[in-house]
Amino acid sequence: MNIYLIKNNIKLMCRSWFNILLFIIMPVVLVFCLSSAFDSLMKKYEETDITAGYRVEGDAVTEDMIEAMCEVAEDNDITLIEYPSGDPEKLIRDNELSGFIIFNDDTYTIYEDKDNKELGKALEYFVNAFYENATAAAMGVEVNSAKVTVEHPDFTPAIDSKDYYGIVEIIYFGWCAIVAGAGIFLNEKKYKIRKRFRVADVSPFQEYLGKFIPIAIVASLGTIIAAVLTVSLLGVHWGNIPLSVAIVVASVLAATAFELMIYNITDNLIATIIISFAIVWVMGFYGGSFETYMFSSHPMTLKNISPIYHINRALTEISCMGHSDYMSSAFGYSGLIIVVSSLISVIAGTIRKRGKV
Amino acid sequence: MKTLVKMSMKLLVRTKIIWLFLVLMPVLSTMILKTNVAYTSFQDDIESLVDIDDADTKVAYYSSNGEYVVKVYDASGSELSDYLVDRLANSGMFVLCRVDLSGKDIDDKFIDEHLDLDGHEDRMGASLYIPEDFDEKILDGNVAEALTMYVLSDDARNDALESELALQLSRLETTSIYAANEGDIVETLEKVDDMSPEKEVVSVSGSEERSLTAAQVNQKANLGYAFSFLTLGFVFAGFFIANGAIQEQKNGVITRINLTKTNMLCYFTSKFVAAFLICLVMTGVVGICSLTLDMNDLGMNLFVFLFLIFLMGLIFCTLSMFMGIIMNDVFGASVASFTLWCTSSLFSGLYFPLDTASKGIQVLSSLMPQKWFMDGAEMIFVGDNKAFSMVICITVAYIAIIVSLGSVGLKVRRSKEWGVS
Repeated sequence: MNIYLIKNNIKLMCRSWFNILLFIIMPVVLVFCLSSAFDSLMKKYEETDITAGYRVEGDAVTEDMIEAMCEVAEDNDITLIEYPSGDPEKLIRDNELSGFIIFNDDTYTIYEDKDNKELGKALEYFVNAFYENATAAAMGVEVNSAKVTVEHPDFTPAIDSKDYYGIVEIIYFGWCAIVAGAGIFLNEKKYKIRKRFRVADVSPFQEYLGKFIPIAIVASLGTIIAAVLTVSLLGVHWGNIPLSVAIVVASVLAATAFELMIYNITDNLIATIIISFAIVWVMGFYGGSFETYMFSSHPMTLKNISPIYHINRALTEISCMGHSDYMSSAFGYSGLIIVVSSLISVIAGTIRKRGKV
Repeated sequence: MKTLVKMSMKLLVRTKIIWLFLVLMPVLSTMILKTNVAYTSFQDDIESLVDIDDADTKVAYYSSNGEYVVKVYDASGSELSDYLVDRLANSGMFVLCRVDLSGKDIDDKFIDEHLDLDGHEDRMGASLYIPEDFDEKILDGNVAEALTMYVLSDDARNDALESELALQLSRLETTSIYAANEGDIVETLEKVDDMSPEKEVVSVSGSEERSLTAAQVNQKANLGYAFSFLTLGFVFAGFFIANGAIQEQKNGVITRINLTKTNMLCYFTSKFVAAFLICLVMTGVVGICSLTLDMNDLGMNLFVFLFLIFLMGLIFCTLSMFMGIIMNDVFGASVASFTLWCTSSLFSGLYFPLDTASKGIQVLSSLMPQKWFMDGAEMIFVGDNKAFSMVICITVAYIAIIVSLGSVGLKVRRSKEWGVS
């Protein structure tokens, strides 16, 4: 009996294919948008060869010193080229330099390219360090005689925006699973299927499963298709794929159970969608679905309450480290939501059946 | 023709929900412009030394241009530690965020907890812990234990920080042999620093772009949100006109209009005129609402502001109207209008700048009308009068495209359904 119900409900959902399409397309669009918007903010610093121009004005720097500086620069992958004339700003633009240095009597001026700030900073650091080392040597300081205590605590390596939002938005839209099931509810109302259930030999638990299983299947598949799309279009890294898929499916199951519970209580599709989207938005807001959780300064207690936070953190850590301490809490939270919501749903269904509301 | 326009307007005015959009959206957008909250975490020139009040404050945003951020837990708070942090900040490469913890009871647990947060819940290159007895350790010559550097990233610049620290500590160590106390050390070292040539840093933009001030950037962000709400209002105004047309088709009104020898071109022109009028009404509402605004906050003159809004509204109103009429289905048309609003405001960069986005997104973004209006607003901010001709050209171009595509779509539709009830 139940198999028949499940099959039929899947058919009903596929009839409103537009909803399912939105369910798959929306996260892909959002991943595209957010990952490129936060690209520069989350970009990892890469060591690249720096090319910079310089000019000596006045007689502050001797020929020998410049030669020495160019040599040291070469060792640090910095190429210094002399441009005796021209406007530094224009020279930077025309020759794609990372910066320009003008040595004057008691000062030196560094022009840094705003678009490649980190390279300009590296150049600034180099010149500064060159002078500091020179004066230190003149002072008689034995350079690098001191050893610094360096410790390496555990940390999450920097994850780039593409991987982060590629993972997080898939989860966020997975939590909107009820959209995929809208077809069932619309048709149930339209054809008064619920009335017919009353005379059928179906327990509330079976009726619940008859909805839960098909929605969970379609929503999980939709979410995974969306994830596969982003992986193939953008090259998002998920790290340990079987483990990540398990977490994604668990979260979609939790979302389905939770939103079905709201539907069973309110018995109104529009209200269900508004309430569940509002709750999911708040959870996503604190869980890092919009502003990266590493960047947002919400209190930790609020973050810890949001299941999406645990799932997001588990998945991002798996993506960049291969393991995560939040795995168990992600699974635990999802499992707890599934069990509690299912229980409440069945109870609500029983009450409704008895009361024949 | 006149009767048709009158009829459409009457129908629209009687629809209650359109008033919600006509009034609510301008009010919402005015509120956004009025509050003038700084929505963006715009940090153009980040200082290389930032003092943070609370040890729990996150420092991730200080690396928004790829800077290497170092969070410093300074429990010593002495002259020597100040000098050290200053020198590190002066080197140019690092942004130091210092938390002053002097006088507080710091134990290992405190440090471990914060390192856990720093490593997993924040983003930085490394963190430094300067313990309370920093000065004594330096004077004793026990430099290696004076402070601890915790590496919290796989950034290539970690080595630079370590060697810079080593250099500064060696300098302190060497000087401490001759000097009597902390003050002497700092004084001697500062004298040496003065002998080095002075550094001056000039930031130049490589690409030629309009440079806005921080206030203008904020105005632009606010304007973006306001535009987004207004677009929603205009899109749904167009949807309601389409809704009227769909109902008229379903109830056979079209057939009756046809019988009066009015041709379809005239009918659709009347719908277009209705869209034009609705846009005027909505712009009027915005105008009334913006009387409460201080025009200096807005960055432009009231009429210019209303002019921009009217043209943008006209594009969206006609676009969603034609979309709705062609879809010929109320539910589908509402979803389409909503999707139009969502994607166009996202891709035109109303919510966040897309300057750094990939080429594909940039191209997609230039297809969105709002992007050009934002550009126009930006040009008006900096006093470029070419903005007016640009927005007018854009509007004419969009409307021409919408009307021609719409009429082709209608021809296809009409051969199937329209006019047959």
